[in-house]
Amino acid sequence: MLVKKSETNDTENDAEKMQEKLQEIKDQEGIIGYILRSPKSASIDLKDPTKIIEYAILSSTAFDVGHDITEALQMGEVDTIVVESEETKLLSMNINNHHLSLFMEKSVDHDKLYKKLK
Amino acid sequence: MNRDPYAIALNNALTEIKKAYPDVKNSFLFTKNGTIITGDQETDTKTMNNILASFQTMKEKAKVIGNLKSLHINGKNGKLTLSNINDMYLVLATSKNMDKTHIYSITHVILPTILKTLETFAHTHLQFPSTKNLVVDTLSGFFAGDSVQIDAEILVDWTKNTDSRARMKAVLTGEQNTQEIIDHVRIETFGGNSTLCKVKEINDQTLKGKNMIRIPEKVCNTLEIKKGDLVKVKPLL
Repeated sequence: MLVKKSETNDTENDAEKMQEKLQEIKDQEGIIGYILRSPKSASIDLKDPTKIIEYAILSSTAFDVGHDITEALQMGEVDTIVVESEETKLLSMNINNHHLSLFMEKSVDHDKLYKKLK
Repeated sequence: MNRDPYAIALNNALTEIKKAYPDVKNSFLFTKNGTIITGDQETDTKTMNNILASFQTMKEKAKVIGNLKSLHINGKNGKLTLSNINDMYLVLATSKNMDKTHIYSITHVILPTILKTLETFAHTHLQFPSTKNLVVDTLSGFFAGDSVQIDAEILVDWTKNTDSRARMKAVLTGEQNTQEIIDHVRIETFGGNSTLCKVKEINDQTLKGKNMIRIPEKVCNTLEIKKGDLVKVKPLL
């Protein structure tokens, strides 16, 4: 019981730390927003709220596609997925049972953000 | 594997890239419409099709951020780069530690250069269908009609050439390859006159295999030519 409570505290602490980092990041230049999903909750912060559903679908698809492809090619578990269009990109990553998708302009250094969040 | 010369050339290119960069594990190319052009020996068709299907799904859902240009996946044991080159996509699966600059060289320098070279080569050959010099025989009478007549062998030869060019063009542009039927030819005289005519096979057995073109009299009058003259004939593509 005690262990479980400790694990729950760790998970909550991780989630809090993650949220703090995301609050810092979301106001940086070029950041469009993020979607953070855990097994029990989701948190969304996007500059354009009219696109929430489409962005959520894209985020979910990125993780599914990442899983399918890494399985097909025996690449092991997914670390990151980066999807790029002409002007925008999406960085998706697994962090402690959380699926995080960060939407940004193409000029943003996503490697730096990854290191900060990991 | 696609036996088209263009696909064979690209297959050779992927093979050589693999030799030069041993960290490359799998590679294949497909068109923007989802047709696999070629792949390396190690990647089976089922895997290519699975990855292609995943890509199509991703492309569809990514429309909210624009046209999909690239997809990068880092796994614990390897990485995948899927990038848009001209009107195609290259899939490159590599070891986890493959240098980013090497991947960039392949996707932004080596393959685009090869594709550009092949494209230039293919377009040069697409421009010049085979022209034949044929001897004029006139068609006269009520049933002469408007069509000229040419040996079946020449028509078949032209059709074969346009097929291979059409396949290359289809691969380059990603468009559907539709077989072209030759039903018109351009006739040019050495005096500088020319005209477009419908064409069919020579129906007189005695005139087959003699490099002749049977032209209705009224067309001969238009072109200012007579029986026995030489004309240049090429298919309309």
